[in-house]
Amino acid sequence: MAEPAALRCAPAIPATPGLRLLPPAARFILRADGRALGIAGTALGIDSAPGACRASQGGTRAALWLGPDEYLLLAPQAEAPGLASTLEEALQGEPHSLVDVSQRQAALEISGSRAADILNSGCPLDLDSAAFPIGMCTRTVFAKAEIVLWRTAGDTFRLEVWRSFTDYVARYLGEVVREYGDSAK
Amino acid sequence: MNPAALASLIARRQSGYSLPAPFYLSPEVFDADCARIFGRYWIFVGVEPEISKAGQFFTVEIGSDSIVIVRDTDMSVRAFHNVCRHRGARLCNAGSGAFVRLVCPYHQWTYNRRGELVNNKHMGDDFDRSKFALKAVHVESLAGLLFICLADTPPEDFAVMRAAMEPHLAPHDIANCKVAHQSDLVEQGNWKLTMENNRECYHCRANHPQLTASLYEYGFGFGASPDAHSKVQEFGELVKNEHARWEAAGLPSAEIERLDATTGFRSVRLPLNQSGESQTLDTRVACRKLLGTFTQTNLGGLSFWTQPNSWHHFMSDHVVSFSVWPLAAGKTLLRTRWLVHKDAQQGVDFDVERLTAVWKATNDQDCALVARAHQGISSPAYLPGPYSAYTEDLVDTFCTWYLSHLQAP
Repeated sequence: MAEPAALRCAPAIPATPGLRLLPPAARFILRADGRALGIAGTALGIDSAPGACRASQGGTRAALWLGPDEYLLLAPQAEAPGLASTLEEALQGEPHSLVDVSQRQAALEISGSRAADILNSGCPLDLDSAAFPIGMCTRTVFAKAEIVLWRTAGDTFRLEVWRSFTDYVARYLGEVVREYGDSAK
Repeated sequence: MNPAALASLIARRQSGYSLPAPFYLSPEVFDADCARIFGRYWIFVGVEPEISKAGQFFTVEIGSDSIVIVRDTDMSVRAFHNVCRHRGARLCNAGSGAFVRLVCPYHQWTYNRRGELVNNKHMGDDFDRSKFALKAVHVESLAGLLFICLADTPPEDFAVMRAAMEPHLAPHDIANCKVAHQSDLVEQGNWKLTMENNRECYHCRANHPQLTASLYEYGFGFGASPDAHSKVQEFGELVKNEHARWEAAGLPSAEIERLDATTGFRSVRLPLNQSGESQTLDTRVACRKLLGTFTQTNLGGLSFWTQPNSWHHFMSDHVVSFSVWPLAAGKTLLRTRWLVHKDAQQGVDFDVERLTAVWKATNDQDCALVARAHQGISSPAYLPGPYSAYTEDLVDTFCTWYLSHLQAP
């Protein structure tokens, strides 16, 4: 299916230290029972099935546990078509739903020693590394937007944001970063 | 506890004696302490360098209450109750940190640094957010020492303390200090035992070998008892001479005693033993970079005590500041902060172990003494005992202040 032209443009975000728009990616929402999720993970080359609220990676691919019957699968954009057919093949005969949401979302990354504090200006979760360690992911809210939040490194978080909310989330984060920036003076 | 029961308990106290056991042990008295002492008077909560940057905050727990103290974007200090205006959830569990927006974990009601409700969903277009700001708490800075008052109308005599104390504190320039170390110690005793222990140095000689290297016990409410007549006189001479030297150098040093006032306090600059420089193991300064514009190291220690919950020592090189918060009838938090000049560097100008050694040891010793006192008072055999007229006057003053302010309408 041809993409609408608008979706081929990356959303614009205001220049903000520590905040960047990640490259476009292949994204699938897979709904299935635990057994089928495991089969899909193996087919993708994911190292091990992710536990609750955890992401598992295999090379450039990742499976994010969003619920007992739901993964968000991420891979580099170019792999999207091949990935879909690989998964459909592996899941043949397994009841499941596989939806390509590559264009529904965009990914923001925020990093730096203040990253958790900055996110907490809109997200109520306890982001202390003891409560939200590296590799943890969850669907949550950031101000008025629903996001998927994934701590990819100690000071780095990936935010999967519905495309039309990207501008709002990025601007909100930009405002917060600016306010923290002022405070460093 | 109803007012009549409280009044009859207060009437049982014999002047010059320690308090009847229920004042230390009873959960009802504890609740009255939180409501009638900590809920009505100025309480010391911390120092400005704890929140030197916009957005930095710390929380204070008093009984079941929790207060957030935050540096606003305009650099003023604000305080509010740590209670969401939606359905009352505790907003913030962290003891300290920084925020731009405070988001309630329950339903994401979102507040700014002024405590204004700036965002909440699903409340309809007609919802008036301006009616649901966080409940503000009065906050004042006395030369960098932060006090809050939970009452609607705080005691006005804070201004008296400010006028008296600012000239004494200002030379130590707290605004240009940083917190080199902070420690929290939970003592297994009633908060008043922690305070009583602070208001006398009768126990110092036997229990505080590190502290008494630099500290003369005589500055802490010692009268000329027959046992120590000549030493107290000798100390009096030393104080007179040192005060003359310090006052000539522009440092107000004379004793101010207003412990009976509602915003009660006492202050005096006291000579230190041996080198006379600082409350360290060897009595020498612990930080090479001196506070403010000081050039002399031997400035003794300006001690400052406030009712009902703090004491502080200001030296040429560092400040030690203590606050006491009641957690439960038999549980008290002692928070200690060591301040040095903001440009002083750990490992270059000071060594944090050396800086903190004396008061860490002293706090541990006092913690054990408070627990011991609380244990003994918990025995049915406990009877209030007499304070020494020579060394425990200030303990009696504390208890008298406490009772009269507990009872005040």
